[in-house]
Amino acid sequence: MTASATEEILEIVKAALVGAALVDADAVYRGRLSPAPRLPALNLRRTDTGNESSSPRYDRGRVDFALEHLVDADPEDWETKADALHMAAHAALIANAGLALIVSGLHCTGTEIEGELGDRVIGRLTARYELQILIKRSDLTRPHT
Amino acid sequence: MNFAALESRINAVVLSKLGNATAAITGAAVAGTFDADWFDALGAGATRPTFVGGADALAAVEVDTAVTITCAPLALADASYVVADKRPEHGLTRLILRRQVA
Repeated sequence: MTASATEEILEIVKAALVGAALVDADAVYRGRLSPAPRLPALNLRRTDTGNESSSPRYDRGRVDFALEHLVDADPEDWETKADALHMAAHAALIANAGLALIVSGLHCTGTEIEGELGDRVIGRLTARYELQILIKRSDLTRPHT
Repeated sequence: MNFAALESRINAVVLSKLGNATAAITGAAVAGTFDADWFDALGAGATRPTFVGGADALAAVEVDTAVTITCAPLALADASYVVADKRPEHGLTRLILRRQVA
């Protein structure tokens, strides 16, 4: 089976994050639901998509995704540490040439931050992103460049 | 024998028979019980480490004091923590511990 254009985009996003080496390569996840074995980590999660008619043969597709930034820190600086990881990840996505070739309007639409105290603070900053792709109505598997 | 004395004797027996760890704290080695329940914290594994020892032995311990735990049953040797909180429990004292993150 062939993956959708959305999946292709998210794999490129993941590759961009791995390439940026902000965290260990095996700590960049896609849709992980079980606890991450080591921190810091990034978890890329697909959220919503939508299509609007652009022309008789093409749609403008909207791809939303969430990027979870997981850190462990002392109680005094977990928000700062999570924020710094988000800023680095955001810069890596915006600067990625492969992504820029096939998407437009990549932007962060907002963030949420949570922390939980155990033997140290686990912080999770979730950044919501939105981008657009052009997609042929007869073929949902490839974004049009 | 009054209640406090009986409680003290029972606590001493419990710690000697069921204790699984030693805490090196404020220059002394205190025998007690260490536990660290695992839980899923926002998508990452974390624990809630605690050490329970005699109230007299831990009377001088304050929040933010450094503690080193050795607990053979949990394969811990000289694990470093700091005291995040301190709770009295019927002649015993429970230390809530946390790790310092680099």
